[in-house]
Amino acid sequence: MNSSTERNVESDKRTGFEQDLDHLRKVPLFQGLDYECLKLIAMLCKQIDMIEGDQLMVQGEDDGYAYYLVTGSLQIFHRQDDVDYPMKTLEPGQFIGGLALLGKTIRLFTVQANEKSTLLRLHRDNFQKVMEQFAGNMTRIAANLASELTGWEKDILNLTERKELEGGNQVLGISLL
Amino acid sequence: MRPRTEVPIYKRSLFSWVFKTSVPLQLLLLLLIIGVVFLRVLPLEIQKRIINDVLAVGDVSQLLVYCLIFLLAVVFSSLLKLSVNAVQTVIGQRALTDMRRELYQHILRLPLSFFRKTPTGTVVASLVTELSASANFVGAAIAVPLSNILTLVAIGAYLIWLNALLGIVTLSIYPIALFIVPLVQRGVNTWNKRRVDSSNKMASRITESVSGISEIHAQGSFQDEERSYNSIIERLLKIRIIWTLYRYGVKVTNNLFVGLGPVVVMLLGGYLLMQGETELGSIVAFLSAQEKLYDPWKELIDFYQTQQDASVRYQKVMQIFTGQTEFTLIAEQRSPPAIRGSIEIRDLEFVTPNGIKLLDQLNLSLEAGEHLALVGFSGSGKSTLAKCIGQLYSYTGGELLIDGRSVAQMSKEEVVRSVGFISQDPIIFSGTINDNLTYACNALADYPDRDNDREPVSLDDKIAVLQQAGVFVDTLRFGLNTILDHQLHPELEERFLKIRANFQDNFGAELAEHVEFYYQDNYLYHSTIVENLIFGSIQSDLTLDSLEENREFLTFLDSVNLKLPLLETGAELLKQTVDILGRDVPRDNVFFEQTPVEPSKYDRCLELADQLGTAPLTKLATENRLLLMKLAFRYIPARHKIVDLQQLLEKLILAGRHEFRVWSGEHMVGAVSFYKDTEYIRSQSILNNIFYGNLTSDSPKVEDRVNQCIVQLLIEEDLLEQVAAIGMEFDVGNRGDKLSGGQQQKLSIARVLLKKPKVLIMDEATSALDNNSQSRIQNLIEKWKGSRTVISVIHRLDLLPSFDKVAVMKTGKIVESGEPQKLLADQGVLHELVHGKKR
Ligand SMILES: Nc1ncnc2c1ncn2[C@@H]1O[C@H](COP(=O)(O)OP(=O)(O)OP(=O)(O)O)[C@@H](O)[C@H]1O
Ligand SMILES: [Mg+2]
Repeated sequence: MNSSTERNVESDKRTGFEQDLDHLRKVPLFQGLDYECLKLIAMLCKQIDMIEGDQLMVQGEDDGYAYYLVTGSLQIFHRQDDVDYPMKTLEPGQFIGGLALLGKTIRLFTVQANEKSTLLRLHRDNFQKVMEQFAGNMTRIAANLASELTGWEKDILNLTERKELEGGNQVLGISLL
Repeated sequence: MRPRTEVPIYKRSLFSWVFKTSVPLQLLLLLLIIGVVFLRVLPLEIQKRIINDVLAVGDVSQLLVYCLIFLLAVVFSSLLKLSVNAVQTVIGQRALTDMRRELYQHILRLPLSFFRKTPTGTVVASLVTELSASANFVGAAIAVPLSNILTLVAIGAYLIWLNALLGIVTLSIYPIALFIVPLVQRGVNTWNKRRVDSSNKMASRITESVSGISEIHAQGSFQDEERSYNSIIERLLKIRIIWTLYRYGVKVTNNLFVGLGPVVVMLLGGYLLMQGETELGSIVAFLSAQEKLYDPWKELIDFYQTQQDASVRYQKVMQIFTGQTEFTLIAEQRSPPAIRGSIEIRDLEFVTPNGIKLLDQLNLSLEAGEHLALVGFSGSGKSTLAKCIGQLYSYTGGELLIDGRSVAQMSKEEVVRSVGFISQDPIIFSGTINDNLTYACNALADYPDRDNDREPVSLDDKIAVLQQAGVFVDTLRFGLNTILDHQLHPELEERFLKIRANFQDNFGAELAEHVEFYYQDNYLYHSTIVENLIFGSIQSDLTLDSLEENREFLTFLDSVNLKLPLLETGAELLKQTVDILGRDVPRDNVFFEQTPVEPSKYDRCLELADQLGTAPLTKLATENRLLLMKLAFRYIPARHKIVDLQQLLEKLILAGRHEFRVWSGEHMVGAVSFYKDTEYIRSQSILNNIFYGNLTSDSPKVEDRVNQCIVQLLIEEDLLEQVAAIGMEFDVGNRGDKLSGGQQQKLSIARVLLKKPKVLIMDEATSALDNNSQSRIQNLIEKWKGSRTVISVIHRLDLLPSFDKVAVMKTGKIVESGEPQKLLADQGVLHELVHGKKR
């Protein structure tokens, strides 16, 4: 604003949009996207406030959303034989559910807010509308996905005990997809 | 509906449309044309008589009479010509409408495979633009050749009558032209084709270089690229020159022949005159006739060119839509037997038009009322099979029988009466929820009512299916978010006020932290700036939406120091929006949700954005300032995150709110009713009225709680159905884009349930729904066992036990089928699907 009016001290503060954009820039899936493309993605992200116990996604459902956690904390659960097993807790700065942006994804986990949390939410349909505008960027997303997947499995392999490997692990090999 | 025994549209020639137009109009045209022709020849005779009879004798009164007749002939001929044009236009436009109507009718009924290979744009362009050239031709097809040929013949006959020898010699030029002109035209056609080919080549060359520009830069291959491009445009240059020359050639050849006419007349006519075998008047008439011959002749040649062009374009369009409807619409029998719902599939095969076998030797049988689950890997042909049963695809081999009758032989009427089809990707059309909900039932109503047992769909029926499909609460919310039309429901306001009081008493404290109440001293972050300022509703012609156009109000804003800050806010909103969205963003609501800019006004905003910064805001043209003001007025801080609400502006607005009370007391007496917790606010939605504030939370838990409370309150006041009915009037937007994917899917289920089909085919119909909705629908369907046949493609395999049978598909074949329990126990493919691959 080219206003000569005296403004308050917060004059250098970024707008809500700029903050969202900065958050999304850190998301591994979005690395290397054109700036214009990322801006459009940020424009279609909605900021959501959740309270304790709110469910972001439910195991077995296809909701189509991806979330970026701005403040608060989230808990991941996996349900088996009617028991909910708590898994990881997510901290601000983490991005979850990105696979759902790419296509129909039935959730294997339930994710729930532990406390009052602020999130950015993006829906598959909207994401795909942006990608139609910036078709070339889809290749970047695919490349990011491939390297993320490989990276994860590498981490898992590093954590895997030697004797498990000797036993002929039958589960590993996801990155060979 | 017209019987479809006639020649299919794509086989019809362009000329067939000429003869399809109304006979009385064509007759009228014929009469008018004969009139025109007569009036064209008449002046020739008058002219001759003036020269031969009047001038020689010197009879002035006779001269006046002849001139008057001449004048009348000219005037009437113009009038008649105008009428000919009018009739011609009507015929042409009617033909266009006929073509559009029948082609659309034809297109809608084409097999689905046609739409797989034809881009939507082609269909649109054909109907919208391509046909109009053909229609112009149809309008002209009778009038132009007929009137011109008649004129030629009439003038020719007149000339021969005047002087047979001279007439025949003069006219003999035309047959020669008739032979040569088409020859030249053929040259035009050939080179035109070459021109089109060459232009296409150029286009693809450009596309290739632009998309590979980085490689060109990397290799520095500019000259190389230029060389190949230049060779194309140079060839194009040659082609275009020759093409243009040919086109002129047609004109020149034509002119040449026509120009020869007077020479012949003067030579031969002069000789005859000298010999005393003819009079001067005849020669003058001959010379005038030459000119009169020229116009119709030229028009004929032009018409010939139009006809060539129109035929080519017409054939191109019709070629695209070649294809036969695969079903008959209406049953031929008087009263087709009611369907019970048994299904028998034997050696079913489906091969696509390009030879891919998607279904291979399927065998399956279902008793009426049995429920079948169809499962299998992605791309295994489940949807294809479902579509074959629903007559969306016509199978190419084997048999598919419903109640022992072949589906291929059934009319669409019978199928849509008894079979409900819910597709994998639901399609919602623009219109209201109600329009979409009754879509299938309304379609049915267009078919004959054979048993006279059709009842209108009642509100209760609709609410029941909305509940079954799980969109009732959503519909209710749409109703609650509606601004009540005071004229339509004057009695409801009081009742909602009562609910407001009940809400405060029962839930006010519990939900207080999620509501922004309408308190006089609080800024409302979930309301627009103008709502914050006015803090009430206006009851005159003026609405909040157009307040920026009110001069007095703008003066008021200036007096409370708000004008400039608001203009600046508007300008900032506009700059940010343009910066983020860019120029080429589709004008689609989705992209404009977080900005006060409306998609329809975006082009204007783009223009204005270029001007901003070059001049002070106060110097902008009035309409531009109004646009900025409008953006500022519509700005909602909590939603439009591209700009932050400045604290200073907030304070100014709150101060302005108090000033406005005083000001409006003087300038808008009685026109404003301010927010008051004992009064209904007509400018706010029902929900905001109940809250007496804005809901600020988007937490699902809060949403659920709000829904619960409101439903309870509405039931207490007996308003639930009324609000739902209001919600059904919610406009779902273009292709339903104002609904979530889940809502769209639920609505598409509801519209089929409303029809109560005997056979229900569901292709992953519940895939986008939450677990609860899926289970609810599954429970509902289970109750139909024994009464309705269900075929359901499912992906949630835990639902399997509720089905009588399951068929497992893999690459176009049914690899297993039988009772779910039994198959699971057999540890075959189904077992693998359910429990994953054995590791
Ligand atoms: N008319 C058609 N012409 C050509 N190919 C088609 C046609 N219809 C479907 N296909 C192709 O046939 C295959 C089977 O499609 P189908 O939709 O029946 O699979 P599906 O089992 O329903 O898969 P999904 O679980 O992904 O819905 C797919 O590869 C699809 O692309
Ligand atoms: Mg399918």
